[in-house]
Formats: sequence, C-alpha cells, structure tokens
Amino acid sequence: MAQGRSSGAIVTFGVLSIAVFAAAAWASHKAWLDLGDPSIITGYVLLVIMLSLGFFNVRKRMSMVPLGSARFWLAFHVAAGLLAIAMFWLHAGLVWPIGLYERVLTSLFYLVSITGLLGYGISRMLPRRLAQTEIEIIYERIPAEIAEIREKVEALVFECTEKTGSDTVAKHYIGTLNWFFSRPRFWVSHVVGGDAAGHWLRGPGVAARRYLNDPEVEYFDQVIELGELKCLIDRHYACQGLLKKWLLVHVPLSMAVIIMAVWHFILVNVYSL
Amino acid sequence: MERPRRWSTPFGAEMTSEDVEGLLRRPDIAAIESDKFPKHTPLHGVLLNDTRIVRFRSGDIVVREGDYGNSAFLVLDGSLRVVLAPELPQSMLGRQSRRRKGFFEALSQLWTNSRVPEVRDISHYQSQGLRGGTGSANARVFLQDVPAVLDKHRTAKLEDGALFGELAALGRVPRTATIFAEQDATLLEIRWQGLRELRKYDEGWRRMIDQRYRENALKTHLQESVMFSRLDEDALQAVVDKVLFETYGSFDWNVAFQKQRQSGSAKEPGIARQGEYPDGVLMIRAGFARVSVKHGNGERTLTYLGAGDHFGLGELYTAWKNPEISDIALYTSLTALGYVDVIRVPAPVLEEHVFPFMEAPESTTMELASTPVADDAMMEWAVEERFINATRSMVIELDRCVRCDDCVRACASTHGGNPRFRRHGRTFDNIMVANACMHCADPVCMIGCPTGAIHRTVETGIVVINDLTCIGCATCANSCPYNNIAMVAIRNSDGHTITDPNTGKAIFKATKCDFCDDNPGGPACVRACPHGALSRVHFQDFNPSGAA
Amino acid sequence: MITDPDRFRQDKSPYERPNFPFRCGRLSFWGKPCGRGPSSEGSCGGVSECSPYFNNDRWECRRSVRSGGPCETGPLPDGKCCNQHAACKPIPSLRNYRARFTMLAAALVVALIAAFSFYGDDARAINTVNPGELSGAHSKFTSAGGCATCHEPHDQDAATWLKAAWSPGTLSQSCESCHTFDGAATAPHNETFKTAGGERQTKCTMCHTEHKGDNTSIVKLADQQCSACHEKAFESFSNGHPAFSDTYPSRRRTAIAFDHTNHFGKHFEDPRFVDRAPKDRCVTCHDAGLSGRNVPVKSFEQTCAGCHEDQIGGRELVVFALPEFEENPFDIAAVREACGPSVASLEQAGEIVDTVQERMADITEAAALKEDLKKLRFDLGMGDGDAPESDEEYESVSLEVLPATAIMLLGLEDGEDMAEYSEPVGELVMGMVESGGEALMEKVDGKPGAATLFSGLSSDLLHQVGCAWAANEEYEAPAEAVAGGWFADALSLRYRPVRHGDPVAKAWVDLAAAGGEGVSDDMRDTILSQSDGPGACVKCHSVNEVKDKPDSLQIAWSLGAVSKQRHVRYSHVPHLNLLGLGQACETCHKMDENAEFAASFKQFNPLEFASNFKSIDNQTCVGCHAEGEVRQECTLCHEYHNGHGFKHRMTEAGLPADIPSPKETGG
Repeated sequence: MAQGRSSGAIVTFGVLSIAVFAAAAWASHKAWLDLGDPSIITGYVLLVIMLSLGFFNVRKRMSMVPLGSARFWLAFHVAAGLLAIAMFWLHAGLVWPIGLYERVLTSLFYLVSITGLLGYGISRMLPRRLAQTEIEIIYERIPAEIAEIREKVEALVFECTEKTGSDTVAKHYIGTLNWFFSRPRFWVSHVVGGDAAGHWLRGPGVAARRYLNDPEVEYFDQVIELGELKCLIDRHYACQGLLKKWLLVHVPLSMAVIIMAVWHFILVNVYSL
Repeated sequence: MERPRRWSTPFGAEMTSEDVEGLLRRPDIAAIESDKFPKHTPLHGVLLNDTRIVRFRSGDIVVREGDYGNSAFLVLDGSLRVVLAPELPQSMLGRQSRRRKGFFEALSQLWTNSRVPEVRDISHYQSQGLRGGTGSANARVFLQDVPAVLDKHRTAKLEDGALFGELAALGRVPRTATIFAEQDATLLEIRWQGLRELRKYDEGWRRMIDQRYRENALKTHLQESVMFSRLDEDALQAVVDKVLFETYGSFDWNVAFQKQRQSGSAKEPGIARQGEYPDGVLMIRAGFARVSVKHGNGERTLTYLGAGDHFGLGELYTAWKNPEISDIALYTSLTALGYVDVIRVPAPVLEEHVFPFMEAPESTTMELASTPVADDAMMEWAVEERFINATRSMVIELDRCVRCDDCVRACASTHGGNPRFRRHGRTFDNIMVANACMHCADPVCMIGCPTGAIHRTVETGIVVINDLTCIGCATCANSCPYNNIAMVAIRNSDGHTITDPNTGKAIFKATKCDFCDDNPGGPACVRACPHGALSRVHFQDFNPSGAA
Repeated sequence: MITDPDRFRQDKSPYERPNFPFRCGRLSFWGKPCGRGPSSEGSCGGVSECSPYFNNDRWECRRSVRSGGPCETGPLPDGKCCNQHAACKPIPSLRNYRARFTMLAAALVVALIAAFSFYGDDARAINTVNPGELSGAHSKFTSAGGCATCHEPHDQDAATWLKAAWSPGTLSQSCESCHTFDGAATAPHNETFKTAGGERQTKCTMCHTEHKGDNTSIVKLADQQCSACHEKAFESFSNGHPAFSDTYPSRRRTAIAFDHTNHFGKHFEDPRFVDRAPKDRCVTCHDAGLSGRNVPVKSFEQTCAGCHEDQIGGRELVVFALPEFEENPFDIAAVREACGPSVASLEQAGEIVDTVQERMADITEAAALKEDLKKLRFDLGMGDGDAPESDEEYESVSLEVLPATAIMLLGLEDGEDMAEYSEPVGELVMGMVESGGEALMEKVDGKPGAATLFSGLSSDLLHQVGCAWAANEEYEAPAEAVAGGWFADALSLRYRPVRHGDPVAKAWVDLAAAGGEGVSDDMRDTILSQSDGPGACVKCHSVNEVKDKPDSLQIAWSLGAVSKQRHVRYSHVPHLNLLGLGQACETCHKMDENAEFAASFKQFNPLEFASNFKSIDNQTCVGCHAEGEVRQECTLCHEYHNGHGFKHRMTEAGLPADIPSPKETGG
C-alpha cells in the first residue's frame, strides 16, 4: 500500500524530470540555434534543481509545518538528483571540464551524486537486512546494550570461576572473547552482509570449549549465546551506522557544491554575461 | 506472603466499619437484602472495601462528560448539579482548550523550541483551578464561579439518594454529562467491582440499574444496529424489555494483561463456546472479543469483535430457517479480550421481530477458517498484543525504515523540542508497533485520572493530556497496557529539574503522542518519514504490504 | 537489555532525543550512559546521581526511579550524594558532526574562493577563475594584461566587480580593441544591409567561445545557426541551397579579352601556330601553383608573348610635331644665343667670309661689306640687336599640323588656327631649347601620371630638336635606328613603346582614358585607337567605366580583377589537389562556344558580358559536396566577417600591455 504510493511518486517525479530535461534540452537547443548561449538556460535550471535538492534538508528541519510529505520529497530528491546529473552533462557539454575551478566543482558534484546514489542504494537494501535480524534496537542505545551484554558475560565468567573453581573460561575470556565483547566488531562484514562475526565466534570464540567440563560448558554456552546476540547488535550497529554516516559525506559535500555553484553563477555573470 | 485476595487493596483506605455502619443506617442502603450476599462477599465487606466516602467542596467537578470512569456515585449529603445545556467549556473542565496553530505559529517552533528537554514555564500552572494537592488522587478541578455557571447553563439538581455514573462504570462508555457540587457534598463512590456485586446480589439494585440502562441508553444503542433498525417503536420497546446484559472480564483488564504478559499465561473469560447451543445473539456493546475455532490442539483466532458487532446470528438464523435440524451448535467460540459488555438478545425475540424481515446473513466463518494459518499470524499477533484497540497506532515497516529518526525529530519539533513517542516497540515480521499512543477505542488510561487531564478531544476523539492539570500521579502511564505514556520530570529553562519545595521530589508530567492535534497538517511523524515506512493505522483496516 | 520483555516500559525506557546535539561521553567507551545525560551546551550533566533533600533533620536520597530509585547507602552526612562519578566529556551526536562538517565545508569553500580570487597575484587568480585555457592565439597576448585584457571588471574594485554581475557584458567590446572589420563589429556580417528591417545586434560571443582549451577552435558555427537570421531555411547545401547566380562564378568580364573559344577553337588549331599552342591546356597559362580563389594567369611573357610580342613595338605615339607657320614665331637672336651657330648659319658664315674676301678686292662695296660682316657676327652668335633683315620670304620648314597630344599640352582649342598656336608653339620650342624636358613637364603638371608621361626623355635631345626647329630647319636625327623610347624625327617628337607593359605608354593611355580637362576626344581616339599607336593595348586590356565619373574610363591593366564577393570564399587548391591538373579544370569550367565573348568588350560596362565559360551551378558542386560525401557546411564557402583585420601588429613585441583603447587609435 505504502509501497505503491511511494513508487507512484517516484514514477511521477521521474516522468516530470524527463519532461523537464526534455524541455530544458529543447530550450537550450533553441537558444543555440538562435546564436544564444545554450548553457544559460541549462545553468539556471541546474541551479534551481540544486537548490531544490538542498531544500530537502531544510524541509526536514521544518517538519512542524505541512510542506508536503517527506516521502514525496525523497521521491523528488531522487528523481531531481538523477535529473541534476543529466542536466549537469547537458550544461557542461562535457563529462570533465577544462578549468580548475570547474574541475573542482565537477569533482564535488560527482562525489555528491555518487554518494547520493550509493546512499539511496543502501537505504533500500540495508533495512531489509536489519529487519531480518529479528531484533530491533535504537542506534544510540547500542553502546549501552553492548555494555550490558559485556557486564552479563563478565558476571557469567566470574560466576563460573567462582562456582567451578576453574579459570579456563576466564582466561579464554580475557585472552580472546574480551576483544569481541568490548565494542562492535566486524563492521565491514556486517555492512556487506557477511557472517565473519558468526564465523569468528564459532571458530576462535568457542576454541576453549573442549577443555571444559559440564558445569563450565553450561556457563560457557550462555556466554556464546550472548555473543550471538551481540553479533546481531553489531549488525545493527554497522548497518544503522552506515545508513547515518553516508550523510556525513553527502550533506557537507552538497553544501560545498551549492556554494561553489552559486559562486560559479556569480563568476559567469560578472565575466561572461 | 499471603496470597493476595479480592479485597487486599480496599478502594478507600480511610473507610472504617463505623462508616459502613453509618451507611447501613441510610434507608437506601438498608433496603439492600444483605442475606442474599454470599459468605465470601458480604454486603458489609463490599461497602467497606469497594466503596469510599468522598467529600466535594462547592464547585468541585465530580464527573466530566466524556470521561471514562470505573465508579458510580451515590449522593449522601449536599446537592450536585448536572449540566444539561449548553455544555461547559473544555477549559472549565480542566481540559486543554485545543486550538490548531496557524502555519507561522507552527513554524515559529523552529526557533522557539527549547534545547533543554521538557522545559515548562511554571507560571502557567497557577491559573488553572486545581485543588487538593499535586501527586494525590484527591486533586480536583473546580469551577471558580458556580453562580455564573448556574446562570449561563441549564442544570438539574441531584440530591440525597441520587445514584449516577453507573452506566459508565458498568458499560465502559464515556460519561454522558458533567456533574459538579453546588454546595459542599458528601458522596459514596462505588467502584465497578462493588457495583457489580450489588447488581448481582440485590434484586432492587439490579432492577434499578437495568431499568435506568434500558431507559437511557439501550434503545438508541439497539437502533444503531442493522438488525433492529427496521423495527417500529413498539417492537423495539418489546426487544428492549427482553434483552439481557452481561459483562465479562475485568474492568481494569490492563492490569491483568500486563501481569499476564510477564507471566506468559493467558486466561480469557469465555462468553460462548464452539459446539454449544446458541440461545441468543450476542451484541458487543463495549470492549473486544475474540472469535476462534479449534485448530489442532489450540484455538485459532478468526477475527475479533468490537463495539456494535454481533455473534451467533448465522447459527440462529439457520436454525430458524431449518426447523428440522435439531442439533444446532455454534461454529466458533467467543472469549473476552479484557472487559466486554454484552447484550444478549434471546432467540425468541429474534424469531418474532427480526428473522422474518431479514435476508440470510452472510457467514464468513468458513471462509476465514479456510485460509492458511500463516495468513492470520499477523492478526493473531495483533489480537494477542491487544493492538486491536488501536485507532491510530504507529506502525513502522522495518524493511523500509532506515532508522533515520526523522519521525522522532519531527515529533520533537512539534512538541516544544520534546519527542512524544519512542521509536521502539513490539515487532512482528516486518512490522513494528512503536511506543506511541494508539488513541485506543477503549482508553484505559483515562480511567482514574483524578483531574481529567487526560481526555478525548470532542472534535477528533484523540486522547490528549492537559499539561496544566496533570498532577503527575502516573495513573495513566501505569494503566496504559502498551507503555505509551511516559512520565517526564519537568525542568525550567536553565535545565534544572523543578522540584516540589515541600518534598524535594521532582515534579512529573505525563506525556504522550497527541497526534499533533494542535498542529497544522496532521501527525508530523507520518509526514516526516522519507521512506513511507511510518503510518498511523486503525488496526481493523490494517493490511501491511510486508505481511500477507 | 534487548531480550528483556519489559524493556519498553515507560519507566525503563525514557524518550530517546535524537534532536539533542550531545550524548553521554561514556558511550564513546562503549559503556552505559548515566541517568543525567549531558547538558544542552555539551558539558557533563552532573557527577552525582541525585540531589539529596534535607527533610526533618536528615538528608533523603532523591535518586530518580529510572536510575534505580533511592539508594541503599543514602546521602553522606554533609548532604552530598554518595554516588559520585567522574565527569564525562559528552560526545557530539552524528547529526551534530554532520552539521559541523557542513559548516566546515561551507567555510572552507568560501575561504578558498576568497583566498584564490582576491588575494592571489594575477597569475594565480587566472588559474582559479579561468574556466579553461585560452586558444593558442589569444593566450599569447593576455599574459601581460591578464584577465582584464578581455574581462573589464576583473581589475575593478569589489563593488564594481559585483555590479558587473547584473550589468550587460562588455566582452564583445573588448574584442574590438584588437579586431577590426570593414563594418560595425556588432552588425550582422559587419555589413549595413539595404534591407535593415529586424536586424539584430550581434555579439562576438555568439559564435566564438573561448576558454575551451589550447587546441580547440573557437570558430564554430553550425549550419542550423545561420537560420537564426537567415529566414529562408534549408536543410543543407545539397538539399535546398538557393541556386547560384546565372553568371557564377564570373560577375564581370575578365581584364583581358582573351577569347578562349577563339584561341582554342581557331588559332591553336591553325597549322601555322600549332607548335605554339599550349601543351598543358589551362595550366599552361594559368598558374596552378598560385591558385587560390582564382587561378591567376601567368605573366604576359610566359603566355601571350609567344605569339603577340611583336605587336607591341612600333606602336609609336607622336607626342609633338612642329606645325607650319606663316611667320617665324621665334626670336632668332635668342635662338642663336641659345643654340649657337647652326650648321646652316656656319655655312652661311663661310659663304659670307668668301664674299667678304671677294668684296675686299672691290673695296668700294664697303657698305655691302659692312653689312656682310654684321651678318657674319650674327650667324656666329656674336651679333647684337635686331636680326639682320632677311630679304628672303619666311618659308616654314614644316607643313605638318599639331597632333592631338600637342594640342592638349599647349591647352589649345584646336590645332587648325595657325595664328592661335604660333605663339604657344614658339614658346614651347624655345622652352625645349632653353630648359629641355622641363618645358614639357610643366605642361602636364597636375595630370594623372604626370611623372611618367615624359619619363626617359632626355633634355639634350629636346634642346637639339628645339634648336633645329627654331632655326626653321628639320631635325636631323642620328643615323642609327631607334629601338624604342623617345626619339625625334625631322619634325616630330615621338615615343615608341619598348616592350609589353611600357610605363610611359601606359601613362599616356591612362591619361587618355581618364579624360578630364584638356583631353580632347580627338586625343582619346588617337591614343586609344586599336589600329595603330599605343591604343593597341586596349585590344586585349578591357576598358571599363569608372564609377561616378561618366566621362572617365579605366584600363584593366592587372589580371584577375577579382570581384568583391565578401561572404563567399572558394579555393581552387583542394580541388586541384584532389582532381589533378590539366583536364581537371574543365570538370567545372566548360567552354561556351556560343558566347558572344568578344562583343562584350566593345563597350565599357564590365558587368555586361558573356563569359567564355558556361556558368557553374549548384549541381556541379553537389556532385561531390553532398550528404555523406565531401563537407558541405555553410562556413565552408561562406565567410561570416566582412574584412577582418587587426588594429595592431599582432606579435608579442608589437602588443604592449597597455592595449590602446579604440578611441585612442581612432581606427
């Protein structure tokens, strides 16, 4: 239901984008035929698109007033972002410009575009993987959660040592497991959907098990079970983190691009028009 | 410790045997035949534990129109006034006078929102007519100018011996009128358990209560049902005279539910059982009931019934149409989910007044039972978690949610910088029902609010809390079976927690989602979700894209 | 913990506040945050877990329920919380970082822009603002002036600079500081068209875009763009181009009336001349090596001379002849003085001496003797006073009439009236006697070609001729034959052209053609006569009207009078390269046997003519220049600009940094 609506919005904005592109291309061609500068029209369109892309962020800050649903804004953002890339090529006429300033601007623009495309990709992909962990945790609570698991593990290890009088589990914890429980691990593997964490846990993680007697194994298995839980939390940490951190690149670069584009706009007006 | 028993927590802690004796001397109480009461619940015990004597000062509001209550009142002394028309303004009742913000007013929150959490300007709290102390259940909202109210509103007087509030207490329906003390008054407040006992064991009370119900509410209620809508006045009266009232489950089911959740065992009171002979149609007047069939070694939920739904019509109609079938039986079972108020319409009444004029009812039972159980898992879960109560629950599709917290930020931006829900909650498949107020069809949170600060808005039926009259007693927060009301310690603009100078304890306020009722454009959380993952749903209409 | 079924309880799970900019510093160590949380400005929220309350003489714990409720130990005796912990350093939230990065990115970009745009030296400033390298030619001379060479606002102060953003650009004016055109720079094609309706102002930047890199052409105009003004749109040259004019490629007759048809059809076939016929056909005479828009004809010597050289010599021009006089117009004494004894007078003197000797024998004739001696003295140039009375009647040695040129020189009405011309002729001859060529030069002073008219005429000759004629004698020319140039025979001064292109002959022909004061029709007829005299030049060289001078004519001396088609260009070179020499020419240039070629040279309007060749039409070109074959864009044949040139010497040395503004140079 929601799926249908939002892909409808994407299609609508997509069609609209194609229409805008066609109109801009036609108008600029018309200008060129008339011995005008075709890049003026495309430049203005591109500037407006860039500013409206940037307005997505402003919209997010002004969620107290009805400025249209963010879903439509995102659909618009995606469609307009793709349009901006096409419009950029139409405007520049080249994939790689000649001037130094233009090259910096282009590099930044490409970086913003690429991060945007990647960001959209992971926004579609990672939530599914997160849903499949069957647990749900708020990103900001992950450190506390890990701390709690660690406390619990350490309590188990301590209790095991106390009750059984053997420090095999404790030594294994200090030597090996502590590394794993101290903080989120296997970030890359979790992001790309691998199971390095589980693999590690089933390998070096349980290496000490063969040296344990039955009472110790009981404690140890609880520790490993908590380890498996932590794998899921690590997955949330990695995936949720990536879902947030890509914006650390995309947003500041967008800001830079917009400022550079505005300066470019001023330069063109001062020097050329 | 001793096993807790029915009366281990009496309604009024200060109620004494002397008080009970005093009550028993009153003619209206004395008329109760105490020998009809069983040994384990003697009348004396009922009066001692299930009632309390409360005093209201002139102007105190006793019950408010629209409130949910779990008790009835008997006037012992003094006089009260029922406001007939026009209704008292919301603000006088201690409710928020809701006004939708304009666009720019809403926008101004962009810079007026505080960076310090839960900041309150305590000077605002002075203006509200509130007495009886904060944090206690005795706090009351009072009318500051009774003569003026009497002058402007048509009222009726209630005096010694008058009983009111029993409909709301037994039928779990909102109070229908506002009643306030004209002069200082003493009332006997009877909680719903006591009222039930009185009705059960005393013929006089039952007749009185049922009679008043039949007179005041039943006819309208029946007319609203399709079954009876064609009947003329006389026939309807005949039906009204013959129907029976039943209640199932515990009035404060939420307490049981919360306990059951922790213990994991579920015990739902049965209303009708599969295979039994149907003696009448059951109409749900309030609450929810589960319709189930035996499946394997368990019960499979087919659907659930809410207010206005009926049960057993198909079977009875078939029996009436085919008199040759002798062993007519119910196809499904009906159990109470929490508190259910039921009207039983006996079969002969139906055969006389209804069946001859209606077409065969469509039965969907078989259809529902023929689908794979996996298709029903979602509904089974929603019933299990009582999300069926929701009219506006926040459902997040986890396979689309990028956990950006835009919804929470949007919520905060419309509520002075403070979020009003927590983006976690119970999950099923790809669905999460976040801990945001669901604006229940049956809002148990509203039961017991001493000041009526938590109430439903008249226009939209959204449950809101008036921060000005909230005394921070946490009754609502503890009642909410979904943990959707949160108590917050308020602070001044410097970030210091505001404490009661007399006790040094922090002052709390109950907070929850108000569905952006005073904000233009509806709930900000829904608007803010860029991936369309968040929606506010009425669970009856909910059909998530993720689940089949 | 996540496995805790009770974790959602409102008293266990407080509101998460993602709008809050800081988070508890313990999270950075993967620890549990404390119940207080950081303050809004980012400092630790507190080091104790509660603020105990003094009640009834004792301190009570006020730890919040969420932090675990009142603690067992309770407050310390001094009223402090017993649970003190070290303050943390709150960490900014991810969004806080994002906001900081964003501001940083913004600040960095602004700073870099500012640093490179305003505080760099000019060379660096060029690098940052420059959207691309200049094309080769332009980059050479902007090194000194920098951006401001073309971009006027570049060196201005910030306010002016910024103001330029919304004032119209001045780039095109900047171009004019170096580039010149025959017409206005901002007029289409730099032309003023007769039909000026709806014309638009043009800008250089319409077609020329700079900063596209060193090796990129800045001259690019697509065919479709021509339609911006040219309303008659057509698809391409091969498809819809308007037909060439009927006479294309000639718009006027050639300078030389060389009848190709006649020569190729008749003379070159003639057995007498067949050995002189051009072996390589066209390129025998047309110099393919110099081909451009046209293929010029080789020099006279290399071409026509083969047959026609003889026809140049012997075409004498009689510039002056001594006319018949009734009386002696000369002052004998002056002539004697100037010329000394003439031959005749010396003879006469000898006779006188003989007579004196005879008379000496008969002294009685003393008077007669005296007379003789006097005469003798006179003859020897020593006499004074009047010439001795001659008893002989004056008999003019010449019976000639004045030639037309002489009439012009003397400024006479006509040469018939002896009484009228006697005196000027006398003066002229005396002038010749006394000052040689100067006398003649004076007469043509101010006439076109004055300097050349008597070029090579020696004063000596004139003196001798003058003396002879003044003495009423015929001039006796030296015996040797005269090859060419100036010479005199008995009674006339003549010029014989030495070779083709003789400047003196040309000057006289030009003078006659130009007409004007003093040039009589008679003189023009004489000089321009094709039958004899120097007028033979115009047998081949066409004579054309002169615009705005109805009586003037002009001789087309030089070859290849290229018609002015400013906006059409054509080069033979690639065509010749492609097609080869010789017969290739006739691919396009086909002779037209029926053309009345010769007839068109009988009048003076060069535009009325019939070419020897058939006109070339579009189809001839379309044969190759067509879709999918050879290029056919507009600019291949059409030149946009009208007379493009430069104001300065465009070398590095020639262009100083301070390029003068158009006002200073004044064009």
